[in-house]
Amino acid sequence: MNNDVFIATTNFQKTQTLVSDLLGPATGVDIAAIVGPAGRGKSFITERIYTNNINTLYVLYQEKWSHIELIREITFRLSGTRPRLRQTCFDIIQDEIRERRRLIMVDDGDRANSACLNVLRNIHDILKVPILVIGEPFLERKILREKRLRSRTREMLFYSPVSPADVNVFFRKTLGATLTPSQTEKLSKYCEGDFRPLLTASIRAERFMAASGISAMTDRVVDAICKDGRK
Amino acid sequence: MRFVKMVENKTIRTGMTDRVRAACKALDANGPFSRRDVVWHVDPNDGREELSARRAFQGIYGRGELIRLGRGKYRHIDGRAPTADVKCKIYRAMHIKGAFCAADIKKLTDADKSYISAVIRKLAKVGDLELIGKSGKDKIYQVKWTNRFYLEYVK
Repeated sequence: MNNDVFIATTNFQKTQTLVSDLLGPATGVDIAAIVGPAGRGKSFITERIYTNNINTLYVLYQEKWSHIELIREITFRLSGTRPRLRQTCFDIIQDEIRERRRLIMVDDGDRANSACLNVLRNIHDILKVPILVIGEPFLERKILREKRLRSRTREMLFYSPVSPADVNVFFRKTLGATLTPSQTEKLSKYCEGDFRPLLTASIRAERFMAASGISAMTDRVVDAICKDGRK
Repeated sequence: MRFVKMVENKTIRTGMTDRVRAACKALDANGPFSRRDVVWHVDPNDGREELSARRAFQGIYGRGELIRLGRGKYRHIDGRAPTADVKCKIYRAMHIKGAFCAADIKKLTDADKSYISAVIRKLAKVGDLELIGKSGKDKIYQVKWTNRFYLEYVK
């Protein structure tokens, strides 16, 4: 099985467009959010964008972080230091951003409290830095609850489920198998729009095919995966 | 030795552009140099390699890494060489993943898997990565000191 496959899904393409929009000229409404349930590939897509674009900064919000810890982490990512004082952090961020404008991406933003989200708003307002917050559907509610956050949000990108076309491409790239439309439909239903079940399905399919000496993806293999798969 | 690899007990010299670039840099210490000096310094094995060296020289000149002072007189400009963009991506991917195998890095960077493995081996040798396990054929590594790694390689 080829396990180093990346598929440029619609979600990925939309995110890339959003990132390049945010890295354009500052308009004053440069906060954006990516919202989607677990397993849609939010973190992976963000990690890939961070890896390939040097004008981005990735911070993974950790449970129970205070707003000071968040701002210190952002400062560290920009300058390599973690000053204690909030004002020092702000000054350093300002200096770094003046040198090169960067997009700050905060993953797991739905876990962040209101103070943390408002610190991000402050960074956006005072330093004119674009912010991208990524999180599960609860993030939408958090943003909509406060008007000052809502009014500064340029776009809220909702991740769509994994499409049958993505399922087809995934199986072709990982196992070299061509699926019929009915098989694609069955597998799409089985994975319920998430990527992780798709990965486990491909692992199971490979094992099943190896055990029964089948080289092509038959209806029997697909049925076996879908039958005793997820409960 | 740099620019040399062994395949089936045969020595194969690799990376002509890098070899030409290194030759330009070395010759520049003694003042202006000509294309012939560079080719001589590269020491090609045969006519084909010599032609390849000449082409690499033209390529480097075309990219603005060399300036022509006159007939057969070139100088090398330091700092105009392309930055290791792929390597930079690999380091960023390693930092963000924390624990990874070569396939994880390939998914994020689209870089060549053998090149990724070479970078991983190099970092593991100097002690910045440590082997934490195996998953099938893939070896899983971990960044030893995340902050230090970030400051040394990513920032």
